[in-house]
Amino acid sequence: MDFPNEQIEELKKIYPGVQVAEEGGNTFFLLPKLELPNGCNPSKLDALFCPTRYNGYPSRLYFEQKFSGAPARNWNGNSRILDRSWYAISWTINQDQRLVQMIRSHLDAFRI
Amino acid sequence: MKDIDIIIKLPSVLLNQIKKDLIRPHEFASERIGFINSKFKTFENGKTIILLNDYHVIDDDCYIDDSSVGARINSEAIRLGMQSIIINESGCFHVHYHEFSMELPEFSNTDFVDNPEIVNSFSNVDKNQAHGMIVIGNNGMNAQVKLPGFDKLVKVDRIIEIGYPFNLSFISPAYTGFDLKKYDRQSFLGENAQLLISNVKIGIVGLGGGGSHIAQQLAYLGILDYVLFDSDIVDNTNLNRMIGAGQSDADNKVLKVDVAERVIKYVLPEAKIEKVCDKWQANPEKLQQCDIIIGGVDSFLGRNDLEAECRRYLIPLIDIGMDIYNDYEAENPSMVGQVLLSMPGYPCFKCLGFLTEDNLAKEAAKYGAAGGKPQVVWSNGILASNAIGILVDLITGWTGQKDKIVYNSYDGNIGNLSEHVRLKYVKKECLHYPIKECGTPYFRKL
Repeated sequence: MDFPNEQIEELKKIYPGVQVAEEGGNTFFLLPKLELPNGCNPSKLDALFCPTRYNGYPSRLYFEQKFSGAPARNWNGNSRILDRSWYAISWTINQDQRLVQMIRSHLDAFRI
Repeated sequence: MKDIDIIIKLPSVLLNQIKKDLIRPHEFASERIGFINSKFKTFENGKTIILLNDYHVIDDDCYIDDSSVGARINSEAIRLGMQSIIINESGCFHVHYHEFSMELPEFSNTDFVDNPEIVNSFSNVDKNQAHGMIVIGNNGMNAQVKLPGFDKLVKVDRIIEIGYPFNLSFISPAYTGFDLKKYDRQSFLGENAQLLISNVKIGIVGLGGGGSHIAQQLAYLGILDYVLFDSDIVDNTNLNRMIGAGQSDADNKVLKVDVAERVIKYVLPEAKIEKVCDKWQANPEKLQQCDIIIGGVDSFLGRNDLEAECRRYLIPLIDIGMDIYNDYEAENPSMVGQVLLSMPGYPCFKCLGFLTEDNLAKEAAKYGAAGGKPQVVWSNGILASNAIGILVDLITGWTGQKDKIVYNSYDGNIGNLSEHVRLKYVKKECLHYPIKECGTPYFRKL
């Protein structure tokens, strides 16, 4: 894991339960019960954030399950990561952001 | 066939490290002791797999001078083991080496007096982990384990050294009910070869062009225990290459796993076959219980997922695949393929340069593109046969090759299968999947 300390501190402040693990040379942040944008059902889900290139995307935000209530998106990512099944949509963001901003940008995909 | 209940998997890279430490002479102790961390999983069918993933050396100063035993360690050493349980959220095994044991090593009477006390200390730190004791011999291992819910140590049924080749220690009797005469022509594989072949569980992921050859050859080889994964049905486009499939299978939309089962059972009626008519991700526990996986998946993404899971559960993965490239400037299409072995502790697909973020990105960009990939029967057959050869050597060690890294490259236009040039430059250790990360993942709170 090689991210600026102030970004890690900011991540901890915004997402107090955040945890980290590595697999296949990638760092993943587990965000337990991440609050999803208004209208999403369910409203909170465990999410897994990979801020670096992974499985063909510059960064990716995975969820423990697919969900509804958001604009229709292409749920094309069904991966086993860290001993668990995760789901993601096809969505790319500007990578030149802080970790917290990157997570928000990924969540923007689900805002109506 | 008896179901094996408790299996220990120990990667050869870790075993080499352990032996190197334990064989060192000590000033007064006649043998050495070490601690190995473990992760474990008990499945719904009652089978337990224990994965050994880290080793702790005991300092010379921690030995007590006691000539009545081979080695006695002090409380500081035991504290080291206990701390490793907390730090790594894992179990801990006491390990020592019987250098002169040629067969399956046995625990001594002293071992049964002293070691259970140490194991109890480990268990008191975390009762939800698997703790135990292992004795390593020159040609095998023996172990006893204390699992959560048990108040004493129980015998482990089997220990597998995960390396090239495998080294299987059968502590409970192995299955021997096969007809040796049937396998007379492959007896050159070794005295115990058929015993080993008959006692491993093989998973095949993808039973199309490549996987169907694999299933058939494994059956002829005498593999008795299978898990077959494929969510697909047979259609007309499979009939140019899928072994065992016929027109009626396509007409009746028969599942590919059912065709593979039929092929295997035709050759080997006694085979035990579990079918997962879905993606393996829908039933990962079936995959986690296999000893070796052969993957015939058709995407880089699929390979990445499969390799990560196999590494986590210390399962060697043999991957086969082929492609046809139509370069606009070339007069003829190019047929290429590969056979790779992903062995825990050794170079992974990324280390070998086969799986890169660039080829994953290119694949992701093409997502949803219509049309099936070109595939033909003979190249699938060549690649599958090569994979079977690797699997047999892995199980039996008949060629005498050790710690082999496999990345074979196939040029279908000239019919040549050879070692990939990248093997000359690859490092022997894997940086992407450290052995320490195997088993249940450990999430650190930030």
